[in-house]
Amino acid sequence: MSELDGLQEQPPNGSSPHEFEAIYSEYLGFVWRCLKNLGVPERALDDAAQEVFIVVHRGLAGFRGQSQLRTWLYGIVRNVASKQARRVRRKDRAEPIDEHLSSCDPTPSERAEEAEAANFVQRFALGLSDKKREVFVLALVEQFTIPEVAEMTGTPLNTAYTRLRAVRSEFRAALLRHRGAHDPTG
Amino acid sequence: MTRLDDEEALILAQARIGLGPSAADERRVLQSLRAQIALGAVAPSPEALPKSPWPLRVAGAIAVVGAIAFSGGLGYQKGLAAGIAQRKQVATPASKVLDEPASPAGKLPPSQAAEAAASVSPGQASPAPSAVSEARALVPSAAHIRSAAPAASAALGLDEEVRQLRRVERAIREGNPRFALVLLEDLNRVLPAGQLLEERRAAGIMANCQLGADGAVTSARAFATKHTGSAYLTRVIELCGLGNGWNSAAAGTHTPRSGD
Repeated sequence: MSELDGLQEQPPNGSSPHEFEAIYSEYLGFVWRCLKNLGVPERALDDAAQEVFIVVHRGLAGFRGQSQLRTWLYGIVRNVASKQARRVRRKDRAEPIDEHLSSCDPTPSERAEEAEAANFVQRFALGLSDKKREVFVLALVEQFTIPEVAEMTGTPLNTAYTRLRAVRSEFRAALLRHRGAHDPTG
Repeated sequence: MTRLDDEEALILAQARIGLGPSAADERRVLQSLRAQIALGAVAPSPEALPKSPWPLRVAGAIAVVGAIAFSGGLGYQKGLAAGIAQRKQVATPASKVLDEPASPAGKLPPSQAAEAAASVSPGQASPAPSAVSEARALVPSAAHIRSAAPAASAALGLDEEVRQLRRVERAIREGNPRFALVLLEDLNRVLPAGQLLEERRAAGIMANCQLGADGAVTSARAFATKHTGSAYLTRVIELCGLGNGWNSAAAGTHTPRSGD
């Protein structure tokens, strides 16, 4: 039995396995960003994304409804990211966060702004506590509604709102610092 | 909306793009997934499976060859080669066709490559067009596969076993033991009675040692005691930290290393 078996939460009842590649196309971006923002280093992203979609394929028996699918998918992402992060911590405890981000550095000129924004957002996310990070990633980066975030993270609605307010405030402060650092005259 | 709101929205929108996968990332991960699915590494619901497993197996072999080559080199381990050499006594001229590792692109005439791809793409088990095009340049022709079929069934199983073990090896070398264990588990399900069981066991022990799993070192000791001539002995000893008490050199083993 592999560790992956522990990740096989059952999705809701649903449809055909032939949807797999459609689901992959639609949700790889979401999975990829979440894995990154939850701390999976670049070098492990391929394997982590594959693990997520292996579990998805195994459980394809039943997707019905976008909200349920996203909730289920995020549960898998969270488990994979958490185990990857533990493995990385065990492997190289002393590695600073910057090294995880270093592969974001090569920025093709046409994507410099996106890359800089991605770097800023990822650094900010990785500096948050786990609980706040989830709210930040889901509500602000992925644009889920707070009721959805509460459902996806198994958090009471009011708690999710409270965390959102806190994390939004921190993000704004970080953004101001970032703007100040990049525009000392402004 | 304040300026900060606008700026916040803008930077988050830019980050969504910047953090997303590139087209190459998307292709690469999908390629690997298709290979695993075609190989049977992931079990879909029974009604989704093709009636006959044979096309699935061939499709899997082709997709895996493509995926391995696509992912940047085989890094084939000599220890594995030694194990194969010992067991590959069923090799016939026909099966030899199937034993070829991924051929360089362009080795096959396009017509044969196209035939190979066409012959394995009926129904739902087929790789999607991009996987097929990747595989086309890399696989033996379907004509060769068909002519080899009577003698090849055992060799085909062995080939799948070898290919999957290469992937396991790569995962271990790259420090992804959990993924290696997933691949091994899938291999054990698809080919429970393979010919490289000692290699599978060694790979499983190494992966568990990398993970720091309970009992991994005990298993490694048992393996080292039982398989004193194993090509994997030195690596098992090293990876599992068995120390100097184990004299692998006496067993005349080769230590496969990355880049061999």
